[in-house]
Amino acid sequence: MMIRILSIEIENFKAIGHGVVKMPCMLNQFAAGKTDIVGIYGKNGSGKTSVVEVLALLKALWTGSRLNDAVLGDCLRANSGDMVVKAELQYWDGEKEYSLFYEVTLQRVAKEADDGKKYTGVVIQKEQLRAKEEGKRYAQKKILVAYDISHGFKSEQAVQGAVLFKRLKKIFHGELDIRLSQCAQNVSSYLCSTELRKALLQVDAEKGNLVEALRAYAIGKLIIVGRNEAGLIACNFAQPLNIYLPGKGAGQLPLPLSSPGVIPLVAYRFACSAMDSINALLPVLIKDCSISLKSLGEEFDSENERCVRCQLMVKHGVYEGPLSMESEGIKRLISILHLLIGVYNNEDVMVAVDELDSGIYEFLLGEILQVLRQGAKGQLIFTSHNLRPMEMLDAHSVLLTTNDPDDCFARFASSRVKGSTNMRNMYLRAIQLGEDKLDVEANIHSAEIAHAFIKAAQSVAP
Amino acid sequence: MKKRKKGVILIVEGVTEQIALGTILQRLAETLNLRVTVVNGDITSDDDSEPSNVRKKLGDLVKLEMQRSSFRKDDVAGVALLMDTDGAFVPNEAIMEINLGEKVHRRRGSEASSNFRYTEECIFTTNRQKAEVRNERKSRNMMLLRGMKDVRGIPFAAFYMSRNMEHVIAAKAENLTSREKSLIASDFNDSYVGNLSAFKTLINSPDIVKYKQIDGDFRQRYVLSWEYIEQKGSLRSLARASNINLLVELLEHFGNAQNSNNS
Repeated sequence: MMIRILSIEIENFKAIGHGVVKMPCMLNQFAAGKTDIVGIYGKNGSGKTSVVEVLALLKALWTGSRLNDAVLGDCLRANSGDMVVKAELQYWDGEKEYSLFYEVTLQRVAKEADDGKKYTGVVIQKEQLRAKEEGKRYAQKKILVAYDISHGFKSEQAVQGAVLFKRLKKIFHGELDIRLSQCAQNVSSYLCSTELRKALLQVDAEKGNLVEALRAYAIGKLIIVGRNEAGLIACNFAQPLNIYLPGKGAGQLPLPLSSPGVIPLVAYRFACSAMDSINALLPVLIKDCSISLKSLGEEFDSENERCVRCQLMVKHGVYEGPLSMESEGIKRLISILHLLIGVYNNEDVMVAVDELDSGIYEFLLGEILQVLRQGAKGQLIFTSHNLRPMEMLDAHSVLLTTNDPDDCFARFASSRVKGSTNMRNMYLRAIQLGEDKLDVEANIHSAEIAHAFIKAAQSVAP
Repeated sequence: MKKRKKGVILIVEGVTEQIALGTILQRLAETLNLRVTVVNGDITSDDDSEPSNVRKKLGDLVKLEMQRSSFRKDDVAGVALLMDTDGAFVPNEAIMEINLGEKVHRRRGSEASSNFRYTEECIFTTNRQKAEVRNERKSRNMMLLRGMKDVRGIPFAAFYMSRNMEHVIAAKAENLTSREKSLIASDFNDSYVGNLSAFKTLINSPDIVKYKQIDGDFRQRYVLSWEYIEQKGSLRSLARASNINLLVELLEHFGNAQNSNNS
């Protein structure tokens, strides 16, 4: 079973009015074995990070997790429509291929917390999953599950849908609408809730399996490294070691840096099994550098679970000691290294990294991306301010944020990118001089900046 | 549909020129992208600037700016160089040697220009012979540069501000500290950035445009404007004058050409 993301469409989220992020595999007519990397570039505040955040949102929805709706409420702009996210995915189980179309609508609402404080939150207004079997003539997009909390479960005109609807209703003894609205208020996906998944499997195994597959993908293959993690490293609090083990899943271990910490035994074993593969690559990238997880003995936590007191150690040349002493860049690289190994070797892994370039030596970053472009099997979405990767990637892999809130993402026209085009130079020219059909001008002028520096000092009160 | 702009490279001596004029000139030609190169020096009077190498120095500056901006040759409509005259064309009789008082230790790297004091009639200096050599070199370099029609295959023109920018834009003939210069530049930008027509009126006023006004093509008027300031035996390069009205005319010409190309 394999799922890959083909495109993400976003409406009304932070700076994004409307934007579509298409993966290169979709533009390349799914050419198997082709690299599927997207680097998102653009000004500060233009919506790069929002793409990674939306992927994190999808992961949370598909795993049935509760969303942080107070935070989301602030991300939805007042006076604009509901936030809508549409994702198109490719599903392949070895025999059948489906295109899956997921859609969710979040509405901004005034809420009251348990302690009576009022805040702006969200509710999940609508959710929908449709599927189209590929390779069949006259195949249509059929609704697998769809609801709108104002109407309840929708029955598709197609007979199958109606039958499904009736049978689901029977299972839940007419309580379907109540459960649904509970889920919507709690801000978690009802579509991917345990209850509905079980029921779906009972009434229609094939449809149920598609929802199961989506959930399994979100848990084990869709891995997000957001800005919070970068923040964690900077304050030297915890090293989130991101790990992907094929067949075992993905995870992020907040291992303490400055002092030994206590983590569950399961997590310790999970992390240990990743050390060898990290150490196979790390010394090649940073000479004479390797890490280890040092156990300081077992203990039990308050819930009587077996835990290990341990510390991340580094050996770098003659230095040997806690990883906390290493540079920010090395910590950052170690933090995401295992995911890059995952992307390189596994077709069904999607890793999204915000600020991939954060703290990493430009030349090394370029070389790593070149290697990934040439051989990576999985999918990678990253944001970057460093433009070096542009020189290393294909035209399809470079996505630019635009000045147009209604069409936030664009690529260079393929006719403009010739064999010998250096896209970094092309981008630098485009943001200064403009580019046909591409609204990416930066409007930054050094004379204005120099003048502002003088003015800024004048406006300081004596 | 967005239209492509053309770049223009404007080379100036110091950051004050960039602050005073950079934004105003950019606003005057919205279909252009003005890249201001600040030399932090003077390619016509630096010790290592000789008539034999000054054109190459200019070419290198342009090459570097092209690399920094990633512009290609056909992206750039033109290159303009803005120079202070600093009395370069005055006769040697107008250079006076004076003792600037006790020799005090100056911080290493502090401004060398303090070896010169300017009035509208003469240049005071601590070393007359050095000043004469400097004027000879600077004037020849300026004439060489203003005679160039292109640099690295890109249309080129040079413009002067006499005796320097503060003299032109603020009628300040006295010797100023760098802080005073910054404030003048900043205030000038503030006064005119929102009133471009007043800026054009100022730089076309008889206080600043001293050369003879004729009907003729750009090149003729350009040469005439330079011949005015270069005139042998005159003190004109110490007095207030400039031909930056021609720079504005050129920028507007480039901008209009860009408009008609795009439509």
